[in-house]
Amino acid sequence: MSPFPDCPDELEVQGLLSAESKARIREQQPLAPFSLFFELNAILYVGVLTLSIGLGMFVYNNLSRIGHVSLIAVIGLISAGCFYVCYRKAPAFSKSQVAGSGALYDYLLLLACLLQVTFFGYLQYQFHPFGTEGLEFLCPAISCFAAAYYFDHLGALSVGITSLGAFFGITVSPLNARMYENFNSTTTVCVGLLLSVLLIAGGITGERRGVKSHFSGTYYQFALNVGYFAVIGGLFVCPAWGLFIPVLGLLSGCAHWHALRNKLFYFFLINLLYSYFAVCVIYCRLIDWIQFWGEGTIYLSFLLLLGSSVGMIAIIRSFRKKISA
Amino acid sequence: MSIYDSDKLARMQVVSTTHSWFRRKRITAEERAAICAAYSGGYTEPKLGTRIGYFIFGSFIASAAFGIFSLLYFAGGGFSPSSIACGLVFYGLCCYAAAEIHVRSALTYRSGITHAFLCFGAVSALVGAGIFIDDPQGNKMWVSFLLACCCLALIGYRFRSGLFLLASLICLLLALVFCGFQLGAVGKSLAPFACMVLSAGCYVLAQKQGLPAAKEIPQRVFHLLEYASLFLLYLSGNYFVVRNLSEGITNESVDAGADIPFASLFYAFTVLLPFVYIILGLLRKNRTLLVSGLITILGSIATIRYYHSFLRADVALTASGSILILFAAWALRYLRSPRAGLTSVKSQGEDDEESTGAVSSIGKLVISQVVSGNMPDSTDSDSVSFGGGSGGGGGAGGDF
Repeated sequence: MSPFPDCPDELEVQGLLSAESKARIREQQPLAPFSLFFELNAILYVGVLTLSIGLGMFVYNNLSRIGHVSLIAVIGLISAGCFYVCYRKAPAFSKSQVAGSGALYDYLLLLACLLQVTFFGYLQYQFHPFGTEGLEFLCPAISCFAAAYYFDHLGALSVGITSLGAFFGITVSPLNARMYENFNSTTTVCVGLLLSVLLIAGGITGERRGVKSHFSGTYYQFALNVGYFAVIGGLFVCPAWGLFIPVLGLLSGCAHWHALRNKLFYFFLINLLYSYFAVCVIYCRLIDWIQFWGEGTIYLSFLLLLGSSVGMIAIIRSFRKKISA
Repeated sequence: MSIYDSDKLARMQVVSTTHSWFRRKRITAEERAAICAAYSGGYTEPKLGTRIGYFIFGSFIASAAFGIFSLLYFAGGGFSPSSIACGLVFYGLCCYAAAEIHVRSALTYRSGITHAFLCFGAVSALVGAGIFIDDPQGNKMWVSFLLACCCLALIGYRFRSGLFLLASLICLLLALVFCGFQLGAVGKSLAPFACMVLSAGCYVLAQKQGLPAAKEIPQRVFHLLEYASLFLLYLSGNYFVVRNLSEGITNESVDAGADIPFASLFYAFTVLLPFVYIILGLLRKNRTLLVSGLITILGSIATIRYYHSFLRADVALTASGSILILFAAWALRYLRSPRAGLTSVKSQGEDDEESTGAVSSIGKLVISQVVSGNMPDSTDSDSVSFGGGSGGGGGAGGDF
């Protein structure tokens, strides 16, 4: 057998392939034009991000030079204009997933949502019309949720959820250093768990009611991040850290069940890594609790790391087999 | 020479091609089952997500093994440089042996575990060899890099790993640079050009698959080398890289008012090469060139702005963002119906759902990071009052 055979002839001789199938394999496809879809989308993506960052910096640099009212008005008008253009082009609302109006309008809506966050933030920073309860985050959150459901847009949903997190006083981005400082007290840990539960409830409700059920993946992904950060934060900072062990078990079990049911390998892997890290934290807390320090602890830790990693690889292999079956 | 058995590799390839035919509706389910049964017993190739998981936990295994080995090796004291070097080289060889055993026993092709062992082994052995070479003045750096290049190339070829071959190419270029700097002013001036020639040669070889044993090397390895050699060609002539590398190696900064030799040539190269890539990519319908051009153009903008900042950052970002959006919007509309063999409509190719999901999640993380940048941080998050967080993505999946 030749290495790397692309061998319809050989397979036909062996009686494994019919002549019709071989002809279909050999069939020449019409020469398709060279698609620039992903490249142009990437340029749009970079453009939207660059413009959003640029306008944010522009506002910050020109607070004293340009009138606040005019700046707020310009940002608000651009945002409203983008929303209006998307509204004009949007297909009729449907509870189920609908095809978008095109890549351009998708990114225009994303720009509108991002600018809206800048608009409300700037308004609050300058004139404090929303008081001190975080309504400047709740307003864009509500508006982005509405836009996400109306236009069927996962990007707007992500902005909505992050704004909702900010309303709760929590940063929900693992890329943001502030998320690691968030969960530094029992109160913030509990608020984080509450937000996680709310997000899970949002996902389940959508699935049960059949309203944009494809949004549930986004809800669960955010819930997983916030939930694990809260649990791990709780294990670090709470005096009664043992109470978080059952919460960890529940969160991990539910996430694993969801990943298995929907055959989501990426979700499973993130869940596994979070759980593994949380269990490592529990191990350190236990060592600290029983005051078991010494050379033996170091040997034990390395052996446990070795053994547990082998176990994790076995779990990954088993999960892959289950979802491939 | 390859660690992989060619018969098992061929079986794996037949099964994988059969699945691809079935997905494109070329064969029936019965035919697929019959071919897969007849060609069973080959290697299995884990998908990207599985490989990442394997690599992470394989790295943990290698780290834990290194910890235990260090505790045992240094238990009796004796921290001389040669004993440390011996220990590191020995550990590196053990990791390499573990990788070989894993491939032979697990029958897995391109497993993350193998790569984790190989990475730890190569780094450890090369650091150990570096200690042996003992070169505080940096005069033998090129020998170290040449040694690393040979080791990595052998591992890359044996394990069919594009990443190791890429690392080997980078080491070769660094060996060339350090060798050039050893040869004095002429060598220093010629080193970037030698790197450019080497990178361009590597691109031509990778594109034509002109290596003698090319038949046994998978296509994806050549594809990776194509990208790598294009980026290395760009970096070899990028003004910022050339200037900083020159200053870093000689520990001498360029005087005020003076410049590096051939500065204008490097500026021209920095500005023009991305456009050459893009134009050639569009003319030849070559995605590798096109994507490399789009990415390197960002490097060129950053380089020019670093040395000649003629616009404030906020104005530059706002203007460039607007231009990019307008250009993309125009091109999306203009190419809706194909022109000159180009279209803005998504092709009917097969998407790997797992990779697409992961890429989409990363994209959304970046978007939400921008949200967090535009949000005020007004209150202390420790208090119970609402507000005070900031936005950020949680890695939401799916497209929008």
